[in-house]
Amino acid sequence: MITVMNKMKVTLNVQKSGSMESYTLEVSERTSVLQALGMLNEAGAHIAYHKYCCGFQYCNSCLMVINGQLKHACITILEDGMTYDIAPWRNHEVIKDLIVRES
Amino acid sequence: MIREKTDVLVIGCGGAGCRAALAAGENGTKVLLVGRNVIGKSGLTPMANGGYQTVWQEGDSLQIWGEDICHIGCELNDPALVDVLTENGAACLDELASWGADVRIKRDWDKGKTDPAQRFDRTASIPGKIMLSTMKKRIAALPNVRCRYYTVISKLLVSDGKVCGAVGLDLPSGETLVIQASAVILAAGGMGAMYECNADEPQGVGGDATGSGIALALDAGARAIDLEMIQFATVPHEPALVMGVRYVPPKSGDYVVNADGVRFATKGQGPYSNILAREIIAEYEAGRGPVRLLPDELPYQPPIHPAQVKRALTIAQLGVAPKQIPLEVTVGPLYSMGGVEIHKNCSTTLSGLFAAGEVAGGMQGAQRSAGTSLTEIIVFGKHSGESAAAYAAHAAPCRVNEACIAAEDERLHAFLGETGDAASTVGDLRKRLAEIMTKYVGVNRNGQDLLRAKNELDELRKRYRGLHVGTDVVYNLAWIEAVELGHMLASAEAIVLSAYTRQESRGAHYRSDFPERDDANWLKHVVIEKRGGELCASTREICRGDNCHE
Repeated sequence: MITVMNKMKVTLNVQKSGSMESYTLEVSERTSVLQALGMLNEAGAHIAYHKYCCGFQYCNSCLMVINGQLKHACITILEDGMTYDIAPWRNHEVIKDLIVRES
Repeated sequence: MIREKTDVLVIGCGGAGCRAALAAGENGTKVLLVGRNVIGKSGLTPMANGGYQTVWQEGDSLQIWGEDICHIGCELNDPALVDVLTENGAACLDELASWGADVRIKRDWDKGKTDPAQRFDRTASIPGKIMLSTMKKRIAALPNVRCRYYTVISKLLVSDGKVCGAVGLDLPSGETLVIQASAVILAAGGMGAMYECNADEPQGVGGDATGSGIALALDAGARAIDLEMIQFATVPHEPALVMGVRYVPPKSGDYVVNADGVRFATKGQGPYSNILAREIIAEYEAGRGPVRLLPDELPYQPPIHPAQVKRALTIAQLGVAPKQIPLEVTVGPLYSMGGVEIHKNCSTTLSGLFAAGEVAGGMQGAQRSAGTSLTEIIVFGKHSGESAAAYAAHAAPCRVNEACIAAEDERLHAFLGETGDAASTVGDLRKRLAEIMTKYVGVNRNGQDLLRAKNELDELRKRYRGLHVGTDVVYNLAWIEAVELGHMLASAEAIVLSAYTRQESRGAHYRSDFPERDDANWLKHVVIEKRGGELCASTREICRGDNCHE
């Protein structure tokens, strides 16, 4: 079987501490929000977030509000042409950007 | 600068660190447990599927189990440490169960052992996540054990030949943190993040296994053994988002094909086989990649634990289960058998320093036995905690070296500064490190390549010295990664020296210029330590008998 990886275009509006930043990027099929955040940082976006820990909605380290809903960024898959509003977990003290304080 | 004081400092809050903190704090000793993120959300334990070996099948015994571990470890295992594991594994599991952890034993399913090299099935199941949540509750109930999250340790403090604390970064404030402690337990985990395609980060967006513990220990003056022993195993490669699919059928070698559809692997090889790892790499190198698992032929492996059922369901819903798609596999680092040299009470060669879990070396020998890592982190975590608390109770007060603290504070803050347009980023340097390690210090090694690796690491270290991470101090990921990269470079240098020193092939360490196992000359540990600021290699006989661990 031949797998063809189509490039897709997505927009991420990220609620950073102090400002909302909008990023448009090209990703492959089956890219997760968490991976996209990593790509943005590689390109110099300086977004503070918890990088991948377990990777399958198991450890809850990547919980964030995506389009209004609390989601696991590690398995939230990006769809072509879509815009994603990304904000930190509600009702938690924000340390920085998408990182909140837990106990 | 933030200053804190404790009796026992535990570095790392994965399974080993949590168990160590509990054991150390049981009798009222003041314990500080530090980690990058809260318990259950950092390190590699949260993703552990849950194989915890103990002896339960009829006909099996602690002795047979120990023999299996040493046989798989190519007899490089320290027998005294293997005894600690086998003798305490079951009691430690019962303890977890008595604290409320849901433990399952797969008595009813005997279709195949996790690893064909083991003579009996010994799998009990307790997912890492459940281990951690169970221990987290108990830690919360002990007022003398405090957790300090969002912390990265960068250096151990040594005075008069004794460890007496550590320096690091408090991430939310960006301030330098100094912790004075009578005893320090390293439970900082493995070092897979310095390779490409590592099993610690199947999504490829970062990893906690940075080898910090090895670097901290060597820098402080402790010794490390057999660092060349890094287990490479089949890991999913494509398509993207196959995380959690660390699917490893007992006889993985029987289900892999190359791009021509040819079954190239030696029959019967287990998922953690170094022979299979080399065969897969050989297919890629000969241009016959990608290597795939055959989805239609894979045996059904029923999950044992309810938490594993949920995990399997998640993967199936994403449509990336191995039986749903042809999964491309490659080889990545899974586990470091080598590590900080420990005695059977988990003390190291440096007074006041203890080590437990993957960061420690000697128990697994030259190849890890499948299903023993979770047993290892709990058994040795507990031992290290008890030993460190006992040591701390009698340790003479030690004064932290203020000059050393000031120097480390300055070093940490020297990273802060604007990055020039043309300058390398920390991401660039990490990528380069992974390239060097994968190309020259991966599954196949030889003397020439290892010398190349050393030279290229020297070059990389020069680039590292000029690294800047911007001026933001609050939770600056680039800053954290830069500090970690220093540890990764130091550990990498030690691995290369250790691999260069061992002129034979044994277990996970394959040298094409010395392709045979050579028991006459190399049935011994390669020891790495720092002398006069330089890394040195020597060898040590394997401890056999009672006296060498006293």
